Amino acid sequence: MSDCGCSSISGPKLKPLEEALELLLNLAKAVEGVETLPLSECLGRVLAEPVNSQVTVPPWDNSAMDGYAINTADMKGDGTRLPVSQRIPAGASGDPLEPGTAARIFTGAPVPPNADAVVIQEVCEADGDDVIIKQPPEAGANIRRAGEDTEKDQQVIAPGTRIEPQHIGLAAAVGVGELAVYRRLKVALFSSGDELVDPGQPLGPGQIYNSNEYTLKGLLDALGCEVVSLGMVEDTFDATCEALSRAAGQADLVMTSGGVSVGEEDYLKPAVEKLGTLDMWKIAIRPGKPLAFGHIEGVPFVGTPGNPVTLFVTFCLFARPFILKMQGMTEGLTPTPLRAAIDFDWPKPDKRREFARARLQLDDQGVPRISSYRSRSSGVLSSLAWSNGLAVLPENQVLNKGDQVEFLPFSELL
Amino acid sequence: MIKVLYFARLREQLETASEEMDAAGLENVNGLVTLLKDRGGTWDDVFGGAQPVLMAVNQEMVDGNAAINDGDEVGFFPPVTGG
Repeated sequence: MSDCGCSSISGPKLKPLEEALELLLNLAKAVEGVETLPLSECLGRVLAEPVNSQVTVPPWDNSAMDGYAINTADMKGDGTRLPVSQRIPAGASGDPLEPGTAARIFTGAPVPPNADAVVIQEVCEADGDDVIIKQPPEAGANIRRAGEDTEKDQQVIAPGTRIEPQHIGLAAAVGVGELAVYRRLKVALFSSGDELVDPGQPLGPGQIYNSNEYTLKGLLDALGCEVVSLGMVEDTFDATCEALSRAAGQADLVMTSGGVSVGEEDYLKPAVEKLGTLDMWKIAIRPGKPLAFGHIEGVPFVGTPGNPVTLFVTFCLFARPFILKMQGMTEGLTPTPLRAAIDFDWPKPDKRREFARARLQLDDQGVPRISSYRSRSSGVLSSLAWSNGLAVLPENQVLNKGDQVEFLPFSELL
Repeated sequence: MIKVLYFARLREQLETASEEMDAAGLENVNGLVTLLKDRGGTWDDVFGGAQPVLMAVNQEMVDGNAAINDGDEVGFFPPVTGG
């Protein structure tokens, strides 16, 4: 059988996705260069050095509830009556609790010395200057201990983490005002092809708009890369070599779409090979398959297919994890899939794994369902704009409506 | 010493993920390939086969003429077919 995982006699074996990813990730090196930025400028950057707490959080034992701080040694069963000797609002620091008394206390206020529990006000009854405690608490009840959240000098954010708003909040909460982050990854983009025209310009005969460079730039911007566009390069071998060399000289990564497939009339492939190394991979996915990877004067080069949808999918599945690792990230390089039922039949599976443009949405019953785009043609960008993710349809597997498959939401891919 | 890493299918075929080796006398990656091939058995199948393996030195893809120096990390990946 051809699906045994061994080499097939019927033609070149396609590279499994997992193998291609492993290779790519092992060739990705985090950029060198760290900068220290104020917290407010760190969103989306990747942390290079750990964030350690400057403080203990919470800084003191404090009340988790509004109620009365007491000492459980003073409890004499249900209905114990104690005089209220002090009142401690949040922001105040109370006096030591006098034996045989209770302290009125509010959420967040420090628990006074000698108190060992807080009784919530719902089980208390105020009676003049006294409080009647209907149910005595256990020792330690409703007290948030000092350092329960974070001890001083404890690491609260690990290097390799992409800084999200919650990390900025956490760093601020532990008193850290600036972070050491990796410098932004610089990616040079490259377009060639006499038939391409920038949007906004009139189209001549046989010309099409250059959407791929815009898609790529959008994808890279969304990942927080610094994009250097080299613009259109004249379709000659010398001009291509010169442009590639210029790209490698000023960027951490050179990317292009199209021009590296077999049989294409293009100077890109020989130019990369002249300046460095280039490998063409055929990966067992659909849409996708070809991916070019190499190095130009020591700088990694990733060539994605020229087809707009294939470019997008290939970027999400391969270029993105590679870029994340180059940016310094160490976890979450590959997307975490959801699982949901499909609302369509899949009677003719391919031997390649299909990443179908799809929408995950709730059906009439409020159950999440995956719908696929009506056309499988990989040239249709409107299908991507319609989708909110990619449904993963396994190779060689017939699927029926209602079967569960993996779904990669764009929120995990972009 | 150099560190040699085997990836994906190679790791399974060779039942080895990584090893440390003495780099003395190794001129380039081709020299290392010959050394590995001469272990015979599966090693000969992998490194002496018709299909070349992919090679990287310190995370950069290279060809067999790339030099190996003490402290380098050399990675071998399954051959890429088609294209």
